[in-house]
Formats: sequence, structure tokens, C-alpha cells
Amino acid sequence: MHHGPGLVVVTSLLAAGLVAAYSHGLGLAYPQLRSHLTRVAPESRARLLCFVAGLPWMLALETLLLTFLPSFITIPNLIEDHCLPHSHHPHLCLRHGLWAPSWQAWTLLAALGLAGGALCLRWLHRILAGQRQIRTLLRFGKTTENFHLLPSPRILAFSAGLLRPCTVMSSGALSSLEERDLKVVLIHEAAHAQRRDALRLVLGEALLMAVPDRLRRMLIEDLALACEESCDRAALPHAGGPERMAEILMRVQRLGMVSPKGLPGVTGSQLSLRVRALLEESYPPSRTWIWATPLLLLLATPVHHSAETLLHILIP
Amino acid sequence: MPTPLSPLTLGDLEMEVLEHLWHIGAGDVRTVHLALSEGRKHHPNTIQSTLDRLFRKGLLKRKKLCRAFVYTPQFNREELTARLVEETLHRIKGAAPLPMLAAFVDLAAAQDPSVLDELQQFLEDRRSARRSV
Repeated sequence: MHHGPGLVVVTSLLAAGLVAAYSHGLGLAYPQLRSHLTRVAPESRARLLCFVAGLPWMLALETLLLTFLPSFITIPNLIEDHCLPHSHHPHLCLRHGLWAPSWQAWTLLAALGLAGGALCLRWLHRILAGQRQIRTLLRFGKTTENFHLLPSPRILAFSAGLLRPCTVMSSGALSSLEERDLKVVLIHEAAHAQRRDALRLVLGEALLMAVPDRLRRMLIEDLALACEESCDRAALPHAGGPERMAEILMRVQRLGMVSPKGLPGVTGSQLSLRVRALLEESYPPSRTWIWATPLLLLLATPVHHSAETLLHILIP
Repeated sequence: MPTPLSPLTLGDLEMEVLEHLWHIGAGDVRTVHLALSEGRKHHPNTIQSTLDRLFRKGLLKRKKLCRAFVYTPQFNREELTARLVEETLHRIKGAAPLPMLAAFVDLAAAQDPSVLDELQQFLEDRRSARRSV
């Protein structure tokens, strides 16, 4: 009998390896995918980007299921047991059982678990600290019917919070903006809360943890831009058209602008993209590809044998 | 020397203590404890550790008078609000943006007025093109 990893160890190692591999694959493929995504309407783009963020995990799960599928259908004798005829590599088989894990396999799993746990804890700490920071800021404001009023001369309007986001407006914004513009700003921020954009972005960040840093930022920025554009579009009927909406965006930016620190012609915000999206873009209707997913079952056998061969190479 | 923690966060009791000190100007553990224990019970040690925490966060100054520390706020309410606003603005974008903050426009990012002028021109061009059709 082989002295190899057991079910838990094999599944965990395979899952970790698959998530890491697919995440890096996504990192490589995303810059090419990006130009196609910009042609999609922001509401669908935000959903699509969330799907893309979850893709490494979904593909890893799907690959795992496909890996064990031949084993599942061997148990009720739907296909012939294939383990005994070939014995040159370990078998991913639930019927004959998996083997006792070696100490190397346990060590590798423990190292991966510790590294993954540390990453998750660091991320969780950042999110919780952010929530505490928001709660602290809100303590300095007054709650009105529709928003939190912050006593500050800066022109501020933002939505804050994760599960129950609220709109925060500064007294500076209230005194500087016209009532009609204020209404549009409030509707834009309320749309963030309604669409649960904060939760979307937090989940996106969590799912993209294994993607290389630069590409993760790119993906999150694209998701944030899609959310902003969606909320701009949600406020359009109240603004009175895209041109008026673009004007409000630019006016608020000019009012709240601090002294320029950037290079000439460079802006750190997404304002330019949002204004151009409002004025230029007309998006085609979105299509769905969900009908194609059952075709993945055809991959079960090749995926199963590839995983066994990979195991043989890794743990001879 | 107290080292201010960044970003600044405050709990319920810390906020209550600060509010009280802004109201009376200065106080020691006993006076703060007496004032805050009217509605509900706080142990003096809890008040002591809260004052100490606020001092370590750089929000209070303290001076020893007759074996007891007297605490005074380092910043007034407006100054502290301004600091929190700036900190929050820099968490909307920047090195480690918080996903649970979404600003109408990003005021923390470096801005170039010429970009806004360019956008304004683009808007005007579009309007005049629409009028001429």
C-alpha cells in the first residue's frame, strides 16, 4: 500500500493549488479581458467583475468536483472500476479509500494553512479597523432623515458602512451646492447603499486575495468604477440627463478640489472616465452564457486523470 | 510621550469621556467618574483606563496635581472632526483604500484643473454638436 496523502490532505492541497493557479491565470488574462469588459453596461459589468473575482474559486471547486466525479459514478457501478488495471500512480478514488498522509504532506498543508490564515486575518483586521474608523467619524455627525451631517467645511458626500451603509454629507457640501444638485448627490449615494456596493467590493477583495497585487488593484478599481457609473446612471432621471449629471460631477469636484499635486494632465480619480462614460457610451444588451455550463461535465475524465498524474509527480 | 495611533478610532465610552472633558475643560478620574456614573454604573478603573487610552492616542494632555492626573483635551471638537475627515478622505483612495467608503467624487486624489477644463470643453462641444443637428 502506498504511503501517500489521505482525502482531506489531497483535497485541501488540490484546492489550494487550484485556487493559486487559477488566480495567477486570472491575473495574466485580465488585462486582455479588460478591454472587452469596458464595452459592457456598468450594471452588468459590476456583476460580471464580481463573477470574474469569484472565478478562481468557482473553477477550483468545479475542478475538484470533476476530479472526483469518476469516483462518484464508480460507487453505484455506473462505470467500471478503473483503479486496479493501472497501478503506476496514486488514485483519487473514494471507493478504495485514500492512503494515510505522509508527514511531508501534513507539513505542506500546515504551511499553506498558516500562510492563508495569516493573509485572511490581515485582511479581516483591515476591514474591521475601517468599520471602526467609520463608526468614529459618524459619532461626530448628526443623524438627519436621509443622511449623516458632518460638521466640516470640506465638500464631502460619500456612502460609508458595510452591511447598513449610510450617506454622509458635510455642512460644507450643504451650504455650497444647490438643492437640485444635492438631491442628485443623495440619490447617487443612496444607490450605492441599495446596490450593496460596499459589500460587493469587500467580497471582491476577499475573493481576489490570491491574485497578484497589481492586478488585484486593477480589478478592484474597475469594479469600483463600474459601481460609480451604475450609481451615476441611477441618478440620471433626477439630474435631467447625462450632460447635467456630468456637470454636477465636475462642479462638486471643482468645489472640493484641493491644490493640485499631480503631474500635468494626470488625475488620480475616476472622474474623467465617469464623465466620458456618461457622455459617450451606449452599451449593447448583455448576453448570458449560463446554458453552456453542463458541457463542463465532458471534462470530468481528463481532469481526473490529470490530477492523478499531477499527484504522482508531486508525491511519487 | 504618547504616540497617536493611526487611523484614529473611538469607542462609546471614549467618546463620552471626551465630550465631558470638552464640556468641563479639565478633570481627573474622580470628577469624570462622578459625572459619567449618573445614568449608569462605571467602575473608576474603567474610567481610568479610558482616560489613559485617550492619552496614549494623543487626544488628552495630563498633568500630575496632588498625586492625581488631571486630563485636558489636546484638540477641540472641530479640530478632531477635521482630522477624522482628512483621515477618512485618504482611506477613500490612496495606498489602502477602504471598500466600504464610496465618495461622490474623489477629493483625496491628486487633481489637475486642466483635466476638468478639458472635460468641460468636451461637454460644451457635445452640447453644441447636439444643437447643430
